[in-house]
Amino acid sequence: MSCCETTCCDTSDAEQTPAASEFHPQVDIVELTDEFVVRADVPGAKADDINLHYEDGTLTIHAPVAARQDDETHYLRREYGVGDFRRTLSLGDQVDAENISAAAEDGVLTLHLPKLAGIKPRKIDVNTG
Amino acid sequence: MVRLYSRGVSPLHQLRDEMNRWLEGIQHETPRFTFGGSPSVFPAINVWEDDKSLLLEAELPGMKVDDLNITAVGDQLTLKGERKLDESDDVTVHQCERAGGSFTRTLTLPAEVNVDQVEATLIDGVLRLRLPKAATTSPHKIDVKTG
Repeated sequence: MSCCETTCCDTSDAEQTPAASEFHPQVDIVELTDEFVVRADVPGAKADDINLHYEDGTLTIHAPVAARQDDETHYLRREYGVGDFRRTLSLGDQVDAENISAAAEDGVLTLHLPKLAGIKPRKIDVNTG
Repeated sequence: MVRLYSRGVSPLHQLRDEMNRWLEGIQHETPRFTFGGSPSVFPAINVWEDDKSLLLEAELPGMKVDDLNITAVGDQLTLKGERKLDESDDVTVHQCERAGGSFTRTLTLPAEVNVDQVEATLIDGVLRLRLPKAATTSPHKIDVKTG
């Protein structure tokens, strides 16, 4: 998996030639004391193919998913379509972009976005006089 | 079935209890699952076929083989499972779209299948089943005799 940070400018081929159909992955975003955690459902996507881009507080997820059946497949029942997952999320300006980490397992992408040092809560000791 | 009324329980209460059991039964059977904020059938499936088999695919991100229970009887296929989400109390939730919990989905297949030879794989959150059609439903060439 490539985790693209602010300094890197990855314009993937998929960006220029969008897939026939793209889908919004469902996401959860939670905030802990020192980081944000983003989880996205990207069933069928391979970890190595996922592109992530973070810039100015905006996280872009692009998880290419290749077709699993021929175009000519005659479906007896078709309840969902298959295609790339793409989504842009706004996370504010508290993220330490240099230290974002990501992993994908069983079709779920998990990102850890640490908060900038100045934003993390700090315990303040009170000295006795 | 014979039921004995216990003392102090009126037939009306019996009826209410009966209704509750009936409603619970319906809720249990109906394959509804809150997914993406709106109630929908879970998991969504795609089904297609080749000459010998029915093929079924379902998207089950985050699920392990052990969380799944698949049973096939004749032309009835049941997908049962529990999707566990990483949850902890000590967090602020900003967005919550992924849904977890137990689900059951039963469907009638368009052909009888050979239940002993069903193959299942779960890769990157995609479940794929190959269900060989029972011999009786495979197409047979019928020779027409002359004379």
